[in-house]
Amino acid sequence: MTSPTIHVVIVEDDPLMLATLSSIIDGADDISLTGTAVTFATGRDLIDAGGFDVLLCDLGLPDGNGIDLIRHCAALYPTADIMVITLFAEKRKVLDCIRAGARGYLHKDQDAESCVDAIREIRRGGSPISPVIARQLLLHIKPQPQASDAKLSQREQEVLNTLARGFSKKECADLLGLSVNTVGTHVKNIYAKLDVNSRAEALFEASNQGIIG
Amino acid sequence: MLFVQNTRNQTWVHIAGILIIAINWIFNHQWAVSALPTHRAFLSDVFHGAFLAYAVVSFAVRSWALKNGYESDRVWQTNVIAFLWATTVNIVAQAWIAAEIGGDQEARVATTMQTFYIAISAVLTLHPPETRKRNLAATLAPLASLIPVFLIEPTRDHYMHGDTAIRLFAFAALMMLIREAVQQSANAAHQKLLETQAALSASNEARRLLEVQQAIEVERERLMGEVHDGIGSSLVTALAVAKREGHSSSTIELLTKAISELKITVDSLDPLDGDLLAILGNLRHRLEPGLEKAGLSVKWDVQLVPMLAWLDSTNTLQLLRLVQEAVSNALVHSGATQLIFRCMSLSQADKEGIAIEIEDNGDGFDPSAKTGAGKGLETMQARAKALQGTFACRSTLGEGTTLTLWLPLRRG
Repeated sequence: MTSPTIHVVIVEDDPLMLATLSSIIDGADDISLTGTAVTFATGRDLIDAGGFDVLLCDLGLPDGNGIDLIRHCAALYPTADIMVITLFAEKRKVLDCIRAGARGYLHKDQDAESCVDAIREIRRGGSPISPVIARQLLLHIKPQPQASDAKLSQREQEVLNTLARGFSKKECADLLGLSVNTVGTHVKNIYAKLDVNSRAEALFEASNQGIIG
Repeated sequence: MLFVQNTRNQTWVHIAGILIIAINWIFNHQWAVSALPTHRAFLSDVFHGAFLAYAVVSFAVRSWALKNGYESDRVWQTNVIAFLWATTVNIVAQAWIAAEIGGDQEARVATTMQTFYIAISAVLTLHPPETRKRNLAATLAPLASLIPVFLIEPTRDHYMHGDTAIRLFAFAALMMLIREAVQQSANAAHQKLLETQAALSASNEARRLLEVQQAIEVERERLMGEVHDGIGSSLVTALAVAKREGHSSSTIELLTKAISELKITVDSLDPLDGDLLAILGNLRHRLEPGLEKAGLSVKWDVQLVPMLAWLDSTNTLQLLRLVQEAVSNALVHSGATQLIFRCMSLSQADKEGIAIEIEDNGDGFDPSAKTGAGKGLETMQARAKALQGTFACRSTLGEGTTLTLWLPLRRG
């Protein structure tokens, strides 16, 4: 079974990190590196040029915040997947990136194999998650009558509840009678809902403040 | 607000009192002139005149006191007491003056007793101890004093009887009114004070907590940024360089461990409202890639447990370190292939709590030995003690080891 090649671009200012990621991607047959950038400005040009499936993006760039690149990319290419390159995957940073349009993250110290797996998984439609982020999502996405597509389904709620208790995706799948891929897909969909949710919140606030309507 | 708490109403009550004394004097004068010898009738007038003069002077003193900022409740109370004592003195005096007609010593004594009852009960009522029973007794005391009057003179229709009875009833009603007013005013003021104090301290407490939380948040952010850009980045770079340049596996291991250590410290800064499963789950999430690499699979067998309200950053770090040490013991010493994590509610010595169990299927060891794994136990024991929990180790050679940490749901 051969899947189509995944085209990746990387925006990362640390040359060593960039080199590490580049060599990891070079080592995988089904993933190819389309372009790299080390600044916000060149990163923006790289994104504008298009022609990629996955964007790996660092946040602390010398001339700007990576989160703005993520927002820019998400607006231009809704079908591309964006992953944040992070050391700790702190919940606030990850959630902010998800709100901006990211759908996953890579740890800076993650080994080559699991990096490649994560990139493949996100293309298959699954997103990584940690118990802390699951817990935070449960606290953040509340049923919102004014945006029904931002509500968690009961299944999604169950998935988040299980993951927030420390169960792995595999265990979560076994407990709920799902496949691991389905759990990953649920997570990715939940991320999208957080995105929609925060947009709905912004809209709601804007109309409250008389900016809209 | 009650009628008598208003100083203007108090003024009217005072004026009414003066009028009543004056009218009483007029009627008493007519009766005395016809019924008493001249010198006694004159004496009766003198006492009434003195009483009226007192009433007018006390009215003036009251007005002066209020104008000079004396507390109005206090002035009113003092006035009522003084008024009652003056009335009492007048009643006793009149009784002794009038009793001459019948030559009736017992009636004099009875009247005197009654009036002193009135005075004592007035003082008791106006300085009420905070019990209803005593207030009620004080109010009813003058009524009870009617009994000796009827015991002494059960049949005779005497001026003193009707007069005293009316006075006593009027007095009882007045006392009841004043007592309620004073108490209600005191209660209302006290209640208001308590509410204000409570509201104030609640808002102060809330503001203080918020300030503390914000300060912690700011400090945490700063520290995180510091760790992230500084030591964190350096360690990651060092690890990458070590891997690239083919440094020894012990160097790589050490750097990996340092990064994982740093992650645990950063994680502990956020105690997740004492959500034990999320905290442990996150540690698992951090450690599992390393465990898998070492051929150790994890079985996660946890039950839903209540939040630990006392679990702050410091305690979270203790807990994470303890669990991490347990895991690394299993990893380094036991030769196990599987780790089972359990978490469940468990009462211990009648105290509600949560038990965390880490079981491996490794070689096991002698827990009393002061070397190797046995030495690590001491540290874990100390950490459990700092958490105000208990720690136990069960190990059978050849079968594996189970470490149990018990944490109280509430701390004393």
